[in-house]
Amino acid sequence: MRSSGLFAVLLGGALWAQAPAALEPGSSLHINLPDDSPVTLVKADMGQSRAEARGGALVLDLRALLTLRNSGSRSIRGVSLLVMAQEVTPGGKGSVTVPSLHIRPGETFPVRVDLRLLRPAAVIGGPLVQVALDGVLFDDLGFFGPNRLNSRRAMLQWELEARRDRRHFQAMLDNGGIEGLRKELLASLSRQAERPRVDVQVSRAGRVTNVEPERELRFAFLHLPGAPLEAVAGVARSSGSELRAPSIEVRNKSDREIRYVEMGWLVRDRQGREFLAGSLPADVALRPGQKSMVSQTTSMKLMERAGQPVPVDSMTGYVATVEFTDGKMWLPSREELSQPRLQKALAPSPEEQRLTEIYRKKGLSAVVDELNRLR
Amino acid sequence: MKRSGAHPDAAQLALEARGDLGFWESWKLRRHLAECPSCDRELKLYAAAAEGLARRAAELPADLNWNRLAAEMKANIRLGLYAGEIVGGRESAPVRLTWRAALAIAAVTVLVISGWWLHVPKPDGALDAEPGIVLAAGEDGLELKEGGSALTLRHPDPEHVTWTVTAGGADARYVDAQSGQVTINKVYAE
Repeated sequence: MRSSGLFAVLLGGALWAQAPAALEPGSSLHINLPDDSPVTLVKADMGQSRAEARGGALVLDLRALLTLRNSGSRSIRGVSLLVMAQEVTPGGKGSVTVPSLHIRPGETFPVRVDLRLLRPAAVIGGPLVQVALDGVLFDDLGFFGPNRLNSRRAMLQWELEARRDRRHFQAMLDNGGIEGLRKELLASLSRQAERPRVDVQVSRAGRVTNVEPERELRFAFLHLPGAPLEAVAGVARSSGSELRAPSIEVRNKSDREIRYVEMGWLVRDRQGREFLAGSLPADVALRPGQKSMVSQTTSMKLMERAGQPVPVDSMTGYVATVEFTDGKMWLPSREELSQPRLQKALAPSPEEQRLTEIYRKKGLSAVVDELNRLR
Repeated sequence: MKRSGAHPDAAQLALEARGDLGFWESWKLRRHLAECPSCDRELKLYAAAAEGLARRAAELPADLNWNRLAAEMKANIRLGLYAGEIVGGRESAPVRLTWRAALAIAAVTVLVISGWWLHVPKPDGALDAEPGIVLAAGEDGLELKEGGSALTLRHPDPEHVTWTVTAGGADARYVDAQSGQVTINKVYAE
């Protein structure tokens, strides 16, 4: 009898020792907002977050919902948080940004941080994930924050796109009435549903695979009449579903100096489907009439959702964003974006995505209210 | 695409990554992995994590002093012999193990050894981590991985997410179902 009891105790102990070791997810996250931040943390709800050591690996499933308050005196249009995971990769980091906000002073708003971290369990010490403020964009387009991730430029671009697209939908409502707006929203939802999607893998270390021989592929370019920049020529290395080292020569055709360029990159596969593969951003110093090269050294592999490679047939570039040295930005107009090829391949702006989602979930009257509220 | 069965849980993937899953379970899992890229990615992450840990475990501390360790071991042995001489006069009767106790000890030994086998990392050359920093944008989220570590920013609804790849990273955009706010996740590899 005594040996049975001993056996049960030892068995229980051995099983307990082999179970995954649960860690405290709350202590795995550290949130750091500066003292003079215009947003303050009201609450951090860790929800179903869990952290555990399992088979030599440490797994953190973080499902945090942060509640922030606008503690400044200006309305907030966007917030960007920097997410850093200790020792994941040298320099590797993430961000969570919420654009298209309309948060008045004193109001609160949620920001969801949903991430998974996997790393060897041997690395210990300190919080696993740190969240810090990278920037806040206000309604007067002023900015606060360390801007380590260039979030000022990204949030400004999204805000300008939001204003452009709201104006577009407001014009639809004013000129075409409720039915005109409904038609436009349905057309947008239809484009979003039909937009071809592929999974993308990017490697900094050069070619991802080297099964097929490489060839040089030339860019064709879409002409946007209002663009202050023109693409002269461009090439990339291609092998099967892999694209590498894209390089585009651009010329400043405006009368202002340009400091930042982003070229959009469309790819057509062998079945004739065209989709947005990515973009090529570059800091430049381009005086009127000057030329410069926009290039990348990374390698990109395109795959279907089921993991099948997408063989690349041809590529097209277009001017997506230009920033002048005075901080002003040029973005394509709705008319320029209405070219069939761009309309099919490009994702909607965050604001268009938000408005169509309101329509999908709450109906047309909710969109009308929202458009009228933000006039 | 048709997938064979439900997704395996994390424990099964971790065991498979280390080659510790039973033959039948492993065969079933492999069938699933052949048709499920997301589980296949997950398995590779576990394998990469194990490999990373093995690499770390293989590194001896920089300040290890073998002479000092040897001296400490000798001192401990001498202390044990001296203590044995002091209590040497009392001899206890030999303990007879019953078959139940023997069975219990055998079972516990198997459990301890299997636990050790599961938890102590061993080098595994079958599934190598991809070299350098790799960014992946897919239905599971945006993943940044290098060697045995990975950071994934997830989006809750893969059907309504759009993503873009740029030189330094990739971003995924979705409308949060609860707040109605657009949320943009981005990973950077700079």
